[in-house]
Amino acid sequence: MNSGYNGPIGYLDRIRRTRGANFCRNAFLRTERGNRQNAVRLINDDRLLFATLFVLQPEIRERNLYQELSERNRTALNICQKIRSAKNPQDGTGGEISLKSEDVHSVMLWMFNTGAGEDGLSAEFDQILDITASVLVKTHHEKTVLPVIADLIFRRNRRGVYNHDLIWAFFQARDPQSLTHIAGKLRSSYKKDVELACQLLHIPEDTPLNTGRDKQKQYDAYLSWLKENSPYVYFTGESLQLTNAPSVCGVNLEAKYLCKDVSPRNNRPLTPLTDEEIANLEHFHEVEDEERAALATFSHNLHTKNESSWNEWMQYPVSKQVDIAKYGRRELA
Amino acid sequence: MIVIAGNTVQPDSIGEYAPGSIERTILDMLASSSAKSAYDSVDQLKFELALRKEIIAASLQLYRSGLGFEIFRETRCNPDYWKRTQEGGFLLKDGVKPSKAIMDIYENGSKYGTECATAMMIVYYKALLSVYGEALFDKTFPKIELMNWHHIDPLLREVGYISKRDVYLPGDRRYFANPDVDPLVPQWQGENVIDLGDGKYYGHGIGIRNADQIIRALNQNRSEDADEDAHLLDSAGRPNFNRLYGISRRSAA
Repeated sequence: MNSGYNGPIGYLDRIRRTRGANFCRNAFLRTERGNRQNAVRLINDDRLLFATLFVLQPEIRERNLYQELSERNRTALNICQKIRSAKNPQDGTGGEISLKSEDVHSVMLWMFNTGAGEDGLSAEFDQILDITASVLVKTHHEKTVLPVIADLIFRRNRRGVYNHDLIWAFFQARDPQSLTHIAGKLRSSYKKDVELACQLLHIPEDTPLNTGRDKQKQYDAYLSWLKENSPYVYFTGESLQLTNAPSVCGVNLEAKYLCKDVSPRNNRPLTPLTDEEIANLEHFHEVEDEERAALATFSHNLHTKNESSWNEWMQYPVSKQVDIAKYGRRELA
Repeated sequence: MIVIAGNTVQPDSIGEYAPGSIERTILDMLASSSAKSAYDSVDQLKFELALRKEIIAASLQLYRSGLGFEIFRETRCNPDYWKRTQEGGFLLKDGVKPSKAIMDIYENGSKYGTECATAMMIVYYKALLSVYGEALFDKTFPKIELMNWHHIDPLLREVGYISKRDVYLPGDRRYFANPDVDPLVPQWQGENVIDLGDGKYYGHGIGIRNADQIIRALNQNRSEDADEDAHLLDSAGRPNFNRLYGISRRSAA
């Protein structure tokens, strides 16, 4: 499991982890009453985990410590307030901070990476993790958190707790390579991991996945599919809020036929189509639906293997292209 | 076009449905579509019409029930009838009559708060309760979990799938997607709705609105640099009317 953070932790974190949140709060208050500067030093420790700052919020308020907090801690608390105020806009607080700033980006990375391992601390904490993940992915296009999000999704799935918003956030990255983090769970020894991976990757329910060998085979097949199709994969935006069988991504067969990369975000070619490509697509549309996938796959494979043969093949009428795709032609081998 | 037992039929021949009624509207839409809507019998078609009508009625009643809107993490339910799950769904308590538990949501809506997808499931159960009656409903759905399309009863699993249709009908589940939603408010990522006919939709939390009004509400919850409008997806979820009819018919036999 990847909790996202394996680095050193602070004194207050150790107390919280070993003795619990209430003991940590009392210890912090005792320290503050005895030596305020010492308490400030402990909470501003670079090694502090976000979860500890989160649980000490009432004490920070009660002892008026906000102004003495480090920039990181103040920003983190402002982000928490912003998230609360988005839920209850009527309280009118939290509007001052812009979530698009670079400072917020780095603080959110700290919040999420050091917080993911503490998931389950409270409903509010988990919700803040979810929204932090969403903002990192959707606003800051941050991809380094994707493996951590993926692991958190599956950990929550094992515990049977809510994970749909986190799943939604994960796929908002619209990154074909991120699918490998989900595919990795196809090999898990936990049935619930495998079931969720199949659901998210849209693998048919009747796929045999009972043995380690079955799972490895499916995993290899998925990676092979991804390797072949990733330049043509686009994300649909489908989520578990919409359907129980979200088809989170699809393959643009036209692009695969033309061997032209598409944007995973909007399913449009990365470079404009040439007149020749537009003409080729018109021919492609003449082909029956069921033959298009085969034709696109043949085109991609030929292009990968031998670009000059592919150029030659693309000059043929589409009926001849289909014949060659079906029966092969020695000169194009 | 409506085809019953292999024969094309006209709406007039189906039954005494008043002009302007939900049933007649649906029949006219099916008949005027170039796509073939095939049924084994008139009764099968009439069952679908009745259930669609009750889906719409259940939507209107739920809207007036006082049911609150809460995100899944903060859902609430009447503990006399339901147990709240860790995921935010509602699980029917042991020993409770399913029909009474569903009716309690309508009678004591303010004791409940949930998201739009759960509301869709409540609507389907209430509609089936109206069509089946208490005895058959309780026998058919002895265990109920209300959430979204997770843990869905196998008899209703098709409402969890959404796909492109030849014709969209009153009583369909539709979805307004909001791809550029502000990540601070993920609950606005989309709205599950029931098509009420006449261009109106019921979405829990949004209320009874037309498509433009729903799109406007979703657009108001987009991120600062949004470049894509919210929109109604070209797809719908529907229960398997035929299977649900089969249960009704076997019970009557």
